[in-house]
Amino acid sequence: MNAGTQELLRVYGQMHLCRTFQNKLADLRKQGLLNAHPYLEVGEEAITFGTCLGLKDTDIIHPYYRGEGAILRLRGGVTVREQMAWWLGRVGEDGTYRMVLPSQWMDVEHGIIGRTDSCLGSEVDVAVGAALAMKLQNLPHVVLTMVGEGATNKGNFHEGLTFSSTLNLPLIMVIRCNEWAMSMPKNETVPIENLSDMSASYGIPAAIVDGNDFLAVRDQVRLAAEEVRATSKPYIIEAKSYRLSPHSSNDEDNYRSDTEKKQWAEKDPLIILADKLRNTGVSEAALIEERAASEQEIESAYQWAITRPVASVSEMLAAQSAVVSKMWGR
Amino acid sequence: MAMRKINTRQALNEALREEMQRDNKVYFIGEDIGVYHNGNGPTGVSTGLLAEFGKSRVVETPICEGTLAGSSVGAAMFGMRPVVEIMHSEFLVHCFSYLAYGGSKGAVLFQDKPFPIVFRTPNGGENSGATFQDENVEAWFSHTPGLKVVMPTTPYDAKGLLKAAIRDDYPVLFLEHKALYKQTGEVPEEEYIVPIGEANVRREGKSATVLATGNMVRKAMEAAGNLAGRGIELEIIDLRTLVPLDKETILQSVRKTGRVIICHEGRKTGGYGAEVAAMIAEEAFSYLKAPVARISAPDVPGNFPPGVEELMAAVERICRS
Repeated sequence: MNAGTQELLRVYGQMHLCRTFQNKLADLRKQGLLNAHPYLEVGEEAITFGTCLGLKDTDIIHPYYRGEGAILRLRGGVTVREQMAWWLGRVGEDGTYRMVLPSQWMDVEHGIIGRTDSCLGSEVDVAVGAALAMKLQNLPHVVLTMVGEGATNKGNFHEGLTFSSTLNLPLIMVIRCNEWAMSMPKNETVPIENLSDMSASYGIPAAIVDGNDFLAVRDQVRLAAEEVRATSKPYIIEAKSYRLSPHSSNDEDNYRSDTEKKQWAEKDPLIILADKLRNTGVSEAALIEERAASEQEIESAYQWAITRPVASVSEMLAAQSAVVSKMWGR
Repeated sequence: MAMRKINTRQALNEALREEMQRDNKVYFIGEDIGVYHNGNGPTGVSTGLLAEFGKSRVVETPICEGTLAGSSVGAAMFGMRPVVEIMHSEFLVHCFSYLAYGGSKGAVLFQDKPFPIVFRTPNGGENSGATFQDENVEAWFSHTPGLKVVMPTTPYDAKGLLKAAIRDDYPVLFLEHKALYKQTGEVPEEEYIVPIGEANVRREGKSATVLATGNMVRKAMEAAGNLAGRGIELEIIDLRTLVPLDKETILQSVRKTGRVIICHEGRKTGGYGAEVAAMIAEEAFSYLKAPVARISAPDVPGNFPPGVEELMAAVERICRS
């Protein structure tokens, strides 16, 4: 197995881990063991992995709110144990408890911007600011952020792209077209077929990519990043995919047909990636081994996390109060 | 210190220039802040900045108040120190989440790393009846943990406080009263800083304490002059910083006079004066000789700033009781 195939097999394992983690969370939520609703991205993992691994390590990413922190794991800052502990309301490795969902953690050292506002669209403005900081400091890094097709309706999206294009900022805007904005279908919320057509309004390039194909997404992001570095203009990538999971674990998911879901399930990004690996000569046994290792990692993370001390409300409050006191100089 | 007389605009311009010279991470961003009004910008504080620092430090943007404010949150995370100009404080509502969440929750989520942003904007208005653009937004933003809210009233304070705001490692909302831009005052030639969080006793007196903000400080000083002949000696405190509030300076005065009149141009219901009055009730109730009075704008959409007469009437009423 050559290095490229080995790397791809590792991605497959991580993507399967991401899937297993989500399924585990959905299951734990049903048992009433989680302290929040996970926002699942089953079926959309290739976009998360392709965007993250298409960038250079020095580039910056403002992740999507779905994905259970896969990008934090891929970039090396955070472990699955740490994230599992958070979901169970328990303290992590260092004994502290973070304030928001793992998909939204701030990790600027690893080039990851956390959410500061849960209203969708705000990530655009914040990512634009990071891109502005790159330009003003003459740094060669690009900034990538993602919105669903639903959030392309936000004023932030249009302001942010207009602002970035007129000021020549190194921004890659990935539109995760997953067909559903909570319970609203794309044809009722978006007035055009291809969202990438909006690029004409900002005078910037755009591309459409199969969002279920990890390699296609990764290669398109690489291409876009080089173009953005060369031209200092933002770039839109529309990744067409489908959310197989409910919006969150607080969603009965009874607004769409099983037939539709079944059709998309056949194009599952894990199936596509497994097929590619088989075509390069990877054995079925190797795939099975990779999946088993991921499942084992999730299970042992759960076993570790469930024994961690429960996060203390008074400690959480004290941590926030300390920051506010510092901000106010008190 | 060698003093000279300059107006508030010039004072703010000097603060910006000095801080941009001092630290190349400071950049000035806003709408029409480059060449408009012969290079003075919409608020008149941009003079000479574009020529001196160029487009990489004086960033003019399209009409995008949301992104203008939101981008500062992202830029501050990556080493920059944005100074954002919002053309009218009325427009700040379109940036609300970036002050209330980006600037507060964002800073908390960023743990204790520096997160410096200054939002400066003209606030209030001089004439009664304006429905647009003369908004008083201080109360809306005073409900945000960690965010500082600063309101200078003299050229001296405007310069010293803006320099302090730009050097501050956390978000500051800097509200410049429109009626004060042309006011002149003594400002030192030498460099100085006015610390955020300190009120200023502008006039000492024993009859009653007037706690004022923005242009109301000027009106309170006028009222004090008029009332001095009638045996009423007002103590006037310019709050200068609303959040965090300098409680000690206020309480010290309340304990001395036992009579309090709070004056601001914002509306009464949920206005910042309610916070000050409640704080006094909590911490100095036994010193009060009369109910706390609030002079503020009526609860209507337009701007109707209270006048000197209204303030004098309230003082006389409070001092009689």
